[in-house]
Amino acid sequence: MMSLTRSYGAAGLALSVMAGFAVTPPSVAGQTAPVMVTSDTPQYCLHLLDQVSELMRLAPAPPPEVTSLSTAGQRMCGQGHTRGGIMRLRRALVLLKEHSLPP
Amino acid sequence: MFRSAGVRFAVVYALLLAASAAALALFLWWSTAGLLDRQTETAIRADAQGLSERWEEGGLPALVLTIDERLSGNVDDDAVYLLTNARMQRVAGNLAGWPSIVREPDTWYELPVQRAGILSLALVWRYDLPGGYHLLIGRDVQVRAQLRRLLTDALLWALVIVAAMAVAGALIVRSLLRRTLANVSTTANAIAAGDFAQRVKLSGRGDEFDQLAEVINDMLDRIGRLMDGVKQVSNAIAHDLRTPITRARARLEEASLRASSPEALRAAIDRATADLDGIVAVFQALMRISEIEAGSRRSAFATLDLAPPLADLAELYGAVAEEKGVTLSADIPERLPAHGDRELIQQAVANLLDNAVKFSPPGGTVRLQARPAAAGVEVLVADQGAGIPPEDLKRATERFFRGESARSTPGAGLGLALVQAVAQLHGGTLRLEDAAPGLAATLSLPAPEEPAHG
Amino acid sequence: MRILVVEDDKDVAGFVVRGLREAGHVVEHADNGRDGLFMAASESFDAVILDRMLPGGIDGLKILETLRGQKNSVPVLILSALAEVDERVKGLKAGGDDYLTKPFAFAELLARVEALARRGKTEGPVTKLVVEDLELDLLSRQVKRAGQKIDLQPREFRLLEYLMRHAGQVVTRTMLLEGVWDYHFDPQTNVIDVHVSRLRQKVDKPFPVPLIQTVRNAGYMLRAERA
Repeated sequence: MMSLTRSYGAAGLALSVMAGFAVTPPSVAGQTAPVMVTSDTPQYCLHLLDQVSELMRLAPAPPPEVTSLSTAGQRMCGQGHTRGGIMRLRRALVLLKEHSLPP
Repeated sequence: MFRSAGVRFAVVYALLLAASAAALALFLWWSTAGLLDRQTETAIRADAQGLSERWEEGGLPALVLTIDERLSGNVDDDAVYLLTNARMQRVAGNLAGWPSIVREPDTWYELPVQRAGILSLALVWRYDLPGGYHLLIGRDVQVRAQLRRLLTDALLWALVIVAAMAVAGALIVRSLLRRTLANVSTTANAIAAGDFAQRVKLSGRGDEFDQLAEVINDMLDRIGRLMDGVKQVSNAIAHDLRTPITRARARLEEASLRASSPEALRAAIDRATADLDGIVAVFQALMRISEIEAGSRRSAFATLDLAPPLADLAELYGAVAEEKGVTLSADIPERLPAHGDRELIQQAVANLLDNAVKFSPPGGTVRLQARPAAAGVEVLVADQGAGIPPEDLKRATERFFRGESARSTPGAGLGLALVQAVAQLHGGTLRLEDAAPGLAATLSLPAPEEPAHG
Repeated sequence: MRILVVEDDKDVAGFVVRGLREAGHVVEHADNGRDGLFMAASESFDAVILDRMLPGGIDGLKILETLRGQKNSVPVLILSALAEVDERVKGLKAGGDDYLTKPFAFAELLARVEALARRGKTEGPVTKLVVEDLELDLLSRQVKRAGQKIDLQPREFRLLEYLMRHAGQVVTRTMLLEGVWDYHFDPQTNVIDVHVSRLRQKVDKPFPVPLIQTVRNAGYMLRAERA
């Protein structure tokens, strides 16, 4: 009876330890300073706007969402909501690229 | 604490629970966070594949352009690229600089990044390109990190709950077990204290505990019967044996005080010796009966042919019968297979024959008849003597019982008690009936449960 | 005969030793297990009377097992207060030749010991038993006395055979029951006496000299040749 208890105990313990290890992150580097991502700055916003404008000039008839998206994106970037603006501008770009692809 | 069976059961239960919970958690992790991991790695690799093709097609400018394109189209804002030259100067991508921790190529790194002031985590892979260029491709895995944290918390809570359940379970199981066993132990205590009529209560469910209770009750019944037998014997000894002991003592005392000659003394001593022998014989018979009732001889059972020993007995007692003018008629088949202890059966039938011849009138007949019966073997001994009056028939097999009519004949009254004990040991019966006139005693022995071999 | 008595109870031992010496035997006595084993193993006896419960760490059964282990086949009669059938079986299984429970009648003990010792000395298979003018032919199952044929039932033949094989020795009723009827209990009534008296009618009555003697308080004896 006790030997059975012991084997179950060992199995349970082993599984729990394994689960514990799986759950903790592998190589958490020491307290390094995080690297800055540069694609969420107002400068990047302008960069995207330039691309949008360029494509809109070349495109024949842009779909209405593109216009609203790029306008909204520009406004948000101007107000400081950089990430939201960048996301809208990116969406606008994706739509424009799809639109300008030859059928 | 670990001597309690209840606690042991509970511990096993708890550990099983923990093991199952851990297994479940592991599976959950693998199928969620693990899946995300694999998806991310696949995406990064596909990305790398695409970029390398561009590099081969158009060299550095093409690569720079592609990286820029990818970034522009990264609506989910989760991609990380960095292309540097041999001097680790940034050429393209959206990282401020080469992260110091990413030293080796072909290894996954988890890189803390900062997006718009928010700390996040990215999974990155380093590629070294010809010309000394280094390319870093990665994806944001903040979601996975959060999921991992979520799962860890859940697991820890689960462990706490399991621990709590284990303790509760231990207490419940232990009290359950205690309650079921309490029944047995209270009864046992009551019996140990002397209340022998107690029996273990059955719950009526017919489960293993009930079966155990039934077995214990059977055992108690048997002990009760044996104890009654002992009480019977003590009473009988007190009543029936003191007489010959007293008689012997009185004779010796008288001889010692008043014997007139050496011959008288010797005669008194001889009579006392005979008395003592008689008492010893009674004790021997009593012990024999107890031995038989205790069942210790059952292991000596064997398959045997009863015909020869019965014929021997008929012949042995035939001569005695003839002396008394009594006819002994024996009706025994050629072969009579039976199962049991030969010596015991012999002694039982001899006792019956002895009684029959003793109580037969001159000119009467004693019948010994043996035959196979539906459930084994039947041996009948019938005489034409005074018989046993109906009201005494039931008590005839008690130790030391002697009916009124038998008081004058020698014997201690143990003969039928022994036959009864032998019958019971073999799982059979002794039937005493009025043969009008006389007594008909039938000893029935059952066949063994399994068919005899050979 | 040389007999060894291993018994620790002083009274019983004295009783037995004196009785055996009076019967004309040479008797040695040991009152504990170690001495008993030593004497039995180192000297030769015609029979050994062995008590089961002995002091000294070596009990009767152990002595018996040791002797038999040494291939010593001296006839042993076990004397014991343990009367249960299982104990009897145990004793005989350990190598004992006969088993007598206490209390016992000295005549019974003497008869059995002498029978045991005689048994050890048989000269091999015999076809004919002869005592005085009584002849018993084992092959043809015929009995003749003084030339005259005697008609015996099979059981009477067996009874006479047993008495003749133990001619000159006391044969107790219990021995007869065991040897002739294979019956191992003590019946209260004297069933044996009836059979012996019937045998006497056929074997002794028609002839001048009675061979079957009654030994008071003991049993019977078939008288051997007169010295």
